[in-house]
Amino acid sequence: MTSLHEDFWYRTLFKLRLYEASGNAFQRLFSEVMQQALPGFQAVAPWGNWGDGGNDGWCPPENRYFQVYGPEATTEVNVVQAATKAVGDFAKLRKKWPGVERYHFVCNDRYCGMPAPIGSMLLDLAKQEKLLEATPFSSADLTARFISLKDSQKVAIVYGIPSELPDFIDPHAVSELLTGLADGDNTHPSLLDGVSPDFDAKIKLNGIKSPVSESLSYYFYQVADVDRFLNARDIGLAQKIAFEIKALYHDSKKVIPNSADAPNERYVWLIDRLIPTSLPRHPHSMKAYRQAAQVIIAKYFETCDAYEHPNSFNPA
Amino acid sequence: MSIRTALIPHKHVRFSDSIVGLSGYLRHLLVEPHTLDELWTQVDRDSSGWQSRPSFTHLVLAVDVLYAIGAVEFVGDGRIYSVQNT
Repeated sequence: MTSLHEDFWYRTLFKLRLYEASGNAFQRLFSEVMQQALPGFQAVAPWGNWGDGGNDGWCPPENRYFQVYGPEATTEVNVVQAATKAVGDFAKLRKKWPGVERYHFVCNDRYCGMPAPIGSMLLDLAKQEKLLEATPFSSADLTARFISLKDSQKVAIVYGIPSELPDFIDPHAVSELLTGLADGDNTHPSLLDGVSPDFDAKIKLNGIKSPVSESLSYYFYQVADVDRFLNARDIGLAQKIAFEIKALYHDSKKVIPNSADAPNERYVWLIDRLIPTSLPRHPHSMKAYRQAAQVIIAKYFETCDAYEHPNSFNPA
Repeated sequence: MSIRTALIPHKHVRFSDSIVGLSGYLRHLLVEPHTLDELWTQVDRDSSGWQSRPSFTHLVLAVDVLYAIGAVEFVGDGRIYSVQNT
């Protein structure tokens, strides 16, 4: 049975993948989930001039077809264009795949909700074409399918998740992480002022909620591992990583829109970004790296390099 | 080595760990001409009087800083000397 802790990690990691997926990346993610969640689902690859015939994935036993649309995050989903595309693509689909009985227009709405005209136009389409079903399929629907998978299947999609109560932090993973950060580009240094504020007060002011608030406090007790490593290395490394973390946090604010859950989602996003992309994405190693990354975040959270300094909040 | 971040004190770089900080201390030692080895001998010990124990690379960088800003000069025989004392 999936615990609340695991549920948070699976949901947040999947949500972040959806936030960043557009175009082919979204279609691949959709296929990854549906191949596990819907028995008989087949992804469709375009073939020469024939293309895909408007079919981005289908389930032959149910005559169920999916048209997938993953707009870029920076572009607003145009309601009229999206709805027109859904209906327009259906004609193309039926021409090449005459057996269609169920049709779904899949759109990465990034949890904003599917524009109402799409549902309405698909209802009309179902009546007009005598379909058994024609509905929109949103990011929330895909998330529900993902959450219903077995843990082993979820791990295959988002890789390992950190344990609830790790016994130790692998220092090798920490060193690998820091090396990855240190080898990256640097930012211009600037003298920083201010005294580190109270840890719990900063958690509260930043709107960080359970279970991330507990994780930060828990991993903060293991910050000595990071300090020991940094003390054994050259002097500017701690500061250089601080700049990297600060820049990463700044980026997280661009990727994840403000919402009540944003502070927690940014935490998970930061952890994933700390892990160098060159490392093999194996579930077991990812689990260790994600745990190690949480210690690093806890260290730099305490020093106000990640998240907002209480002085930066406008009391008004 | 992250020279840029080690150069001046920061939130995560103490004054005594910074290259500029060490440069100031070396300048104090260079009231008489020293070779690099002589400076290293004076700095690389617990009783040096300086709060941190720098690496040799750190020492060389601190001397580089002093030379770059014209605070020390070569006086021959492989020795450097604080300009204010010449």
